[in-house]
Amino acid sequence: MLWLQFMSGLQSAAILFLLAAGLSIIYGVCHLLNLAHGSFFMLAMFLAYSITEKFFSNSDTGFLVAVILVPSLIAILGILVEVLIFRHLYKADVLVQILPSIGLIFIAADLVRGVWGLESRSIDTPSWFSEPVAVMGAYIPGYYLFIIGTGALVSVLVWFLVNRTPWGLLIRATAANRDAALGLGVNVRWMFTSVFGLSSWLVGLAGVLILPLAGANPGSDLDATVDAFAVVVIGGLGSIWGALAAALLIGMVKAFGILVVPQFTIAFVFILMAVVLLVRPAGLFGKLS
Amino acid sequence: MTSTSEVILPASSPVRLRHVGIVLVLAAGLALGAFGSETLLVQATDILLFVLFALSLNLVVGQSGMVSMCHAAFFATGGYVFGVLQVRYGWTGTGGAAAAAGLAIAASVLLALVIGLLIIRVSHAYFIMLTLALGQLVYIVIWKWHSMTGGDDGLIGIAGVPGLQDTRTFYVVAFGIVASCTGLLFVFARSSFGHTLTAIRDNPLRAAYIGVPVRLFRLAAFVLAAAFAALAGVGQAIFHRGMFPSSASFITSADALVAVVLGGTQWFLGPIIGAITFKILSFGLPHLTNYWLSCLGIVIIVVALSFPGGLLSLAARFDSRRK
Repeated sequence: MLWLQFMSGLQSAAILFLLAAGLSIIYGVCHLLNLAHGSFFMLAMFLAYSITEKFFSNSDTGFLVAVILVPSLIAILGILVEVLIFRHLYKADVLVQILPSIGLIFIAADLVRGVWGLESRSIDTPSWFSEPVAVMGAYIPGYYLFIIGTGALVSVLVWFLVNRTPWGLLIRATAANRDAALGLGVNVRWMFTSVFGLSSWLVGLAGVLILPLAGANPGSDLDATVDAFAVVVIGGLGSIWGALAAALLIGMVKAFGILVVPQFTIAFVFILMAVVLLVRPAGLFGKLS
Repeated sequence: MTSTSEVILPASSPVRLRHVGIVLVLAAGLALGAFGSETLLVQATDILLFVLFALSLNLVVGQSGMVSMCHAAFFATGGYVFGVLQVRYGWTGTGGAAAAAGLAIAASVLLALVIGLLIIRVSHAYFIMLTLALGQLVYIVIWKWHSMTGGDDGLIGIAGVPGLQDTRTFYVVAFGIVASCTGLLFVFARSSFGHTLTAIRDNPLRAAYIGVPVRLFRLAAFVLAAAFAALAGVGQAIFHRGMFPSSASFITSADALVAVVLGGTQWFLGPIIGAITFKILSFGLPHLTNYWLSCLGIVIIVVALSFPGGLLSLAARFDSRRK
């Protein structure tokens, strides 16, 4: 029983990390808070629904196509949004930076209402993962293991990208000191665009992976945004590993909180946020600027 | 939060524009009350309440430099506390309504105090994220507390105030109240309290060094703005005889923020112009297209990219060019 809760916590931690990591990276490198992050998540869910349900009549192939295609589509969307809108606002006032993301939230919500309607949409768990798997005496849904595995794999890939590739070196240099990086000939513009691409790819993947477990609703955007905010507030804005730690913490609090008070798991997350803020206002891994 | 290179105190708004604006708005508002049709009066009352809501938000955003994304929580708390007292506890009649309104504003002030104490230490991005998250929390509570708030079905059957049932009468009274509140907020903005807030906005560190209790002032602005937002919420509850969860939603907070920036946060008149423009857009656009919310979104993005100072900054630029 507890073991099952633990695995369920790991599964939601994996989703939370994929969801929030991008938000944190964008802030860390570009110093920009994208409120529309959750809208990207919602669009990914609905796109994955359409691809699986409409084009492949809810088959396993459809899911596979969605997992590969949707994150890339969301990445392209993120790059477009950066080039067309956010690129021009890095030096602007915080208030002016926030405004276009509100505009994007409106547009995404309107698109979803117009194209997919107000109903909740979901897809079946692919048949490869429909059997529960016995792990240490408990039966764990196979799909949980798939999400946990994918989350772990992507975390390692992100770590590798940031710490072991030339691109990662330039990203870290840009995050540490934008002007110095620019002076040394780093193409800061391209750095920002690629960061938006990677972040959007991550949030797109999170949207596809969660779809068989949770339906896509017109309200999924803000739910996801609030979840992502909880992760980065607790973990520390701009820190990827803070996001990982906070995602694990929140995932576990949610999974075990359900055993204690089923209706109010969201309250636990907020209490956790309040406590962290009072003790460490910049989050567990954040630096006070 | 604001670039310190162009410190624009509210006092430096173009004088001619301001005077012409006040006279025009007062005259138009009263003329509307006398001759306006019923439909027009309903829309005008909505605009009035939204103006008060946006003005109160600008005390936090424009004057104090705190980008709050939970202002709808205070608006909705005002409306819902008033409505619940009337519908569930029978606080009707003139005395009951007045007491309910007082308690509604007090409840909102208390909520602002609790939220404020928690978040006043953090700034910039954290402030935005926390206010957004806490605003959603209030929204969820209203949504889920079905036995008290009516949840998704809304809280309907609010009796209101005897003698204010007629649309025209309500409009005239609301106009008087909103105009007085506007005057009051103007006095706040021009007082030493208002100037201290502006000083904190432009340089919190320097303000702290000269002995200003920065957090206390920020908290005071946050709470004061919540009180005026709650008053607008009470007006909404009386006018529509009901409250709906959407009044607490992110969209409501975002609408007000957009209105404030659209008009220009650095002018006292900015939120008024912005709120009226925004409401006219949101009344008019649905007649033109089914995807009116997308159009609104595009307008918002264009405003941010091309004239981030708002409509009044455009007018001021035009004005200074002519001289």
